Amino acid sequence: MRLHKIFLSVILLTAAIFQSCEEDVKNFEANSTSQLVATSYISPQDTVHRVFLQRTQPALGKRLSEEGLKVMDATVTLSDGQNTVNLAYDVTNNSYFVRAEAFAIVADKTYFLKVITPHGDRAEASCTVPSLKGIQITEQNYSSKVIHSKFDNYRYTEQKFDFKWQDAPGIENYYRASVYRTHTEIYPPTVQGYKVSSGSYHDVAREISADTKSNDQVMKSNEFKFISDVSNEFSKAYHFHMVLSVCDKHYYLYHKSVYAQLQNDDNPFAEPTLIYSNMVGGIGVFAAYNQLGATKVIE
Amino acid sequence: MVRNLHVLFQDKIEFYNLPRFFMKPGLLVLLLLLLSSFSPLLAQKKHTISGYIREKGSRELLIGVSVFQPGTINSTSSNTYGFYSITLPAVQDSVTLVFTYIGFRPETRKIALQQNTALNIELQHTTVLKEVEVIAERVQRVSESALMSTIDVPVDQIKNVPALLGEKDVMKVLQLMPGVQSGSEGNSGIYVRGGGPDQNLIILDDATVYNASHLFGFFSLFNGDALKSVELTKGGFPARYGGRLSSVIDLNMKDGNKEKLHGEGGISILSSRLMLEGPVKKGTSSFLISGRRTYADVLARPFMPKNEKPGYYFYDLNAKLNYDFGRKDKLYLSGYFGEDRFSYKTNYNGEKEETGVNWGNATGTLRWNHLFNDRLFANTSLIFSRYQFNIYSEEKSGEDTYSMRYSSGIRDLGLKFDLDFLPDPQHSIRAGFLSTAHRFSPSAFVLKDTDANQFESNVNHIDVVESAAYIEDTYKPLPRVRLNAGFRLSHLYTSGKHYLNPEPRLSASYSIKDDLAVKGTYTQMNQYVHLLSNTGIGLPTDLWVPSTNRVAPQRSKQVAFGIAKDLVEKGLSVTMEGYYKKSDDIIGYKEGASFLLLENPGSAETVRWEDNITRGQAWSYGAEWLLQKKVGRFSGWVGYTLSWTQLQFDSLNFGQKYYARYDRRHDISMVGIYKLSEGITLSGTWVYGTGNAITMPMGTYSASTNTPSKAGLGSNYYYNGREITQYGPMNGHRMAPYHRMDIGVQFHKKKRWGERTWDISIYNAYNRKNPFYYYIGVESQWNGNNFESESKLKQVTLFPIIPSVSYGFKF
Repeated sequence: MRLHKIFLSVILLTAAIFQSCEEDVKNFEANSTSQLVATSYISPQDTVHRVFLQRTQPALGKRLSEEGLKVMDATVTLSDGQNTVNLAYDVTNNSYFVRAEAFAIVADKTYFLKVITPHGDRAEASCTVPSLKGIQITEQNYSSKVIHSKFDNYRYTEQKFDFKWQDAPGIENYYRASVYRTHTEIYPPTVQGYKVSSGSYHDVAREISADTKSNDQVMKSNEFKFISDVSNEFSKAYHFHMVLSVCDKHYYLYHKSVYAQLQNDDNPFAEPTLIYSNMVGGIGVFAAYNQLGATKVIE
Repeated sequence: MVRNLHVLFQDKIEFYNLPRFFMKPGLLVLLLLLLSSFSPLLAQKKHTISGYIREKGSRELLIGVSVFQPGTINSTSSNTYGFYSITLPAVQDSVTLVFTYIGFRPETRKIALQQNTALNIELQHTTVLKEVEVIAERVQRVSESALMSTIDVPVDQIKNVPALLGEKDVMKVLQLMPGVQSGSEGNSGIYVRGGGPDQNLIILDDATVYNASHLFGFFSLFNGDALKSVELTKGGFPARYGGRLSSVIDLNMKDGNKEKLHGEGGISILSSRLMLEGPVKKGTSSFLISGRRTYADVLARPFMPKNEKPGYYFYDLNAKLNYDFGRKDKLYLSGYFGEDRFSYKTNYNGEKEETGVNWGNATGTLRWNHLFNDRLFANTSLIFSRYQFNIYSEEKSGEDTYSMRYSSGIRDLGLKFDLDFLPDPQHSIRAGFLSTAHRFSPSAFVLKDTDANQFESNVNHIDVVESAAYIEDTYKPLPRVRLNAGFRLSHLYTSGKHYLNPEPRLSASYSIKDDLAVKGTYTQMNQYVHLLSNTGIGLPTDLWVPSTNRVAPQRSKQVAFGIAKDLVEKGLSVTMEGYYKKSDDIIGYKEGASFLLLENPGSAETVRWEDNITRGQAWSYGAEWLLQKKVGRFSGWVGYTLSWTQLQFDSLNFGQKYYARYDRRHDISMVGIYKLSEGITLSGTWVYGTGNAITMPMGTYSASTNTPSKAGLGSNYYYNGREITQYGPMNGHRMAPYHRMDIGVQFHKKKRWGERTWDISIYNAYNRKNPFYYYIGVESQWNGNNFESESKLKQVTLFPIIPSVSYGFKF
C-alpha cells in the first residue's frame, strides 16, 4: 500500500467519526462549458503535419458523449505569414493534416495556427521552429552488466546508454533527449531474422530538459536502461539510436505539465498541476521542434 | 547592502569564530555589570527598588505586572520571571509605587528611598473587578506601550470562550484576533498576516513546539490548566524574538502553587484532564503536573469486532518543578510530552497485521534565574525539543515477518542566555544569545522482510546550528515618545555554508494625548527552518527541513503603522493598524510533488526533498481593527481584518502571481463574555471569513503528447489517450464564506472542597453548513435508451450544530 493511502484512510476515518454531511453547491461561479482543445507539434523532419482537435468534457453539468467531444467540421489553417494552407480532416486518425511537401516547415520561422468551428469557437496560436545551429551530439556512453535477481533467480543483461550534446550558446534552449534500441533476432529456421525495436524503462518526463542552469554548456541526457535475456544467443548487433529534439518553450512547458499531472493524479495530497496552454480562445498547445540524431552500434 | 551581507561574509568567517563570539556571555555580562555599577555615578544619585511580584495564595510569579510612580512617566513591568526593577532619583520623602495587573487588585506602596530596596509584592486575585474599580485602577494601556501588533490573551478569558466539544483551546482563541486567521473548519493552525503555520514561532517555556496540534489540527496541544500566560506578537518584533517570519506565540507554564496543594480537572465528551500543583518544600519549591487524554478508543473497544481493533487517542502531559534558592537564584525544570496514536490491528487465523500512524512532541527546559544586582537579571536556559512522525506496517504470517517503518522529525538541543538590565526608568535593556543544534530527519526508512530476505535501512539526518545574538532597549527619550530599538544578528551553519543576517528592529510610539498614541514599526526577520506542506492545514506529515547550501533562508520585511486609543472610563481600548509585509525565498512544494519522500516502500527509492521544492515570494498587506474590553462584568472584543496575500513561485502556476489559499479579504470576529451573577457566566462568539481560495477543475480531455518514434527521425508518434484535467486559474475560485456562532453558559458553584463548573456550549449554534472541501460528484440516470450523467459540485460540511457539556472542578 502506498504510504499516502495509509494516511488518507486515517484521515477519512477521522472525518467519519465527526458528523459530516454533504450537499450540492448552488450559485457557484465557474465556467462549466465545453472548451475547444487544439494540439499540434510541427517539425522540419515530419512528413505530415497534424492538428488534433477535441472538446473538453466539462467538469460540471451534463456529460457529453464520445461523439460530442469530436470536432470534425472545423476550418484549420497553418500559415507562415505569407503562405496559408488548409488542413483536411482524417477520419482514421481523428485529426487534421497536410503533407510536408505541401507546406514546408523550416527552422527559425514563425508559424500560425488558426482553428474556427461552425459554432463560432476559435483557437489561435503561434510558434517558432528552433534552430539546430551550434548544437551537436558530442559523446555517447555505453555500459552493460549481467544482473542476478535474488527474487526469482533470473539473470538478465542490463545495458545503459546516455549521451551528451553541446548546447547552443547565448539562447535559451529546451530539449527532449530520447534513445531507443533496435537489434535483429534470428530464430531457427528463419535465416533472415527480423528487426526488433525496443524502448528503455525510464521516467519519460526526464527526457525533457531546459538549459537554464547550463547555458552554453555540454548537456547530458537521462540514463536509458535496456533489458535483455542473457540466454538470448540469437541477438546480433545492437543499434542505439539517439534522437535529440530541440523544442520551443511551448513544447517544453506543455509536456512537463502533462507528465507531472499524470504522475500524481491519484495523490490527493499533491498540489494540483495546471496544464500549460498557449492557445488563445481555446486550450491546448501549438509547438515546434527540430531534431538531430545519431546511431551507435554495439557488436 | 544588508540583504547581501551573508554573501559578503560567507567566505570571510571561519566556522568556529562565530559560535565562539556567541558563546561569550561573560563579555556581555561584564559590560552590563560595569554599566549597572557606574550608571548611578554618572548622573544624580539614584536608588533601585526591585523584587518579585507574585499571586497571593499560590505565590505564582506574575508576568507583565505594571509598576509605576503616579504623576510621573516612571514605570516598568515585571518580566517573564516576575522580576521588576525601577531606579528612581533619591528623594527626601518616600516615593509611591502602584502595582496593577488585570484580574488582580492593585497594590500601592510608599517606600522611603534612602537606599536600594528589595520589595516583593503579592497581588490578590479577584474573579471580577467592579466597574468602579476598573475606573480607579490603571491597567496597562495600549496607548502607553512602545510595541504594537502584540496581543496578550488572559488565560482566564480563554477558559470562558465556548469551544468545540468543550475542549478549551488557546490557539482557537488566538484565531479570533484580528490579523490572525484559521485555516479550514475546526483547524487550530493559525495564519498571521498572510504567513503560513510554519512561520509562527511557538515557544513553551523557551522550547520550540514544532507541531502544535492533535487530531489533524482539530485541537491544539496546549492545556489551559497548565498555562500562566499567552502572548502573540504578529509584527514589530522585539529583537529578543527571531527565527520565524510571521509571529511569535510565547507561552509560559505555571510554576506550581508554593503554599498548598491545588488541583483542577474536567471531563468532556472527548477527553478528561487533571492538573495538580503544590509545594514540595513550602514557600521554596513547588511542582505542577497536568495531563489530558482522549478516551474514544476505550469506549468504542467493546463494540469492535474481535478480529479487528482500530484505535485512536491523544494525550498531553505537562510537568514543572522549581526551586527558589532565595532572592538571587531560582531554578525551573519543565517539560511537555504529547502524542497522537492511531493504529489498526487485525488477527485472522494467526495472521497478524498492524498498521499505524503516530506523531508527537516532547520538550524540556532547565532554566536558571540569577540576579547579579538590583538592576541586572539573567536567565540561562538549556532547551530540548523533539517532534517525530511515524508510519508503520507490520505483518506476521507463520515464520515470516514483514516490517516497514517510515519516520520524519526534528530534534533540537539549545542554550539560551538572556539579560535584563534596568538602569533607570527611561531604559529597559535586554540582551542575550541563543544557539540551537537542530537535527532534521526528513526521511528515515527501515524495511524488514524475512520472506524475501530483504532488509533495508535508509536514515538521513541533517545537522545544522542556528544561533543569534541580540540587544534591545525600550527607551523613553521624551515624556511622549517611546522607542523599542533593537538589533539581532542571526546565523546558520548548514551543509558547509554560513548564513549571517543582521535584523534591525524599531518600534516607536508618540502619545498625542494621555490616552491616544500613534505608532510605527519596521522589522526584518529571517527563518532558517522550513515546513514543507501540501495541505497547509498543519498535518503531521508536514516536513521540517533546514536551509541548506541549495535552499536559502526565508526573509521578510514588515512595516506597520497604527493608532492606539484607550477609553479609560469605559475600560475599552481601540487599535487600528495597517501593515505591509514582503517575504522572499519562501518555499513550497512543486506542482505534483508529494509530501512523503518515499512514495513506494517497496522500491525504497527516495526523492531528495530539495528537488521537490520551489522558491518564491509573498506579499501581504492589510488593515486591522480591534475594540477590546478586558475587565468588568462584560468583557470581550470585536476584531476586523481587511487583507490581501499573494504568492509567486518559480515552478507553480507557470511563475505567475496568485492568491494564497487562505487569502481572506474580510475576517470578522466578535467575542463576548458576560458575568450574569457569581454563579453564571454567559459567552458567545461569532466569526465571518471570506471563503478559501481553491483551484477548480474546468474539464478533462485526452492529452496528445509527442514522442520521438522508434521508426527514426521524422515520423513522430502522438500519444493520444491519457485523460488530463484542465484546471482554472490557481486559487482562482472561492468557496462559500465561512460564518459561525458559538454560545456557552457556565454554572459555577462553591463546594466544601472547592468549586465545580458545568460548562454547556453549542458549537455552530445556527447550524451553518460551512464548506470543509468541495468535490465533483457524478450522478447517472436511465432515460429509457441510455444513461445520462451529470457532474455536480458537492460540498462537504464537517461540523453541523454540536452541543456539548463538560464538567470541571478545582480545589
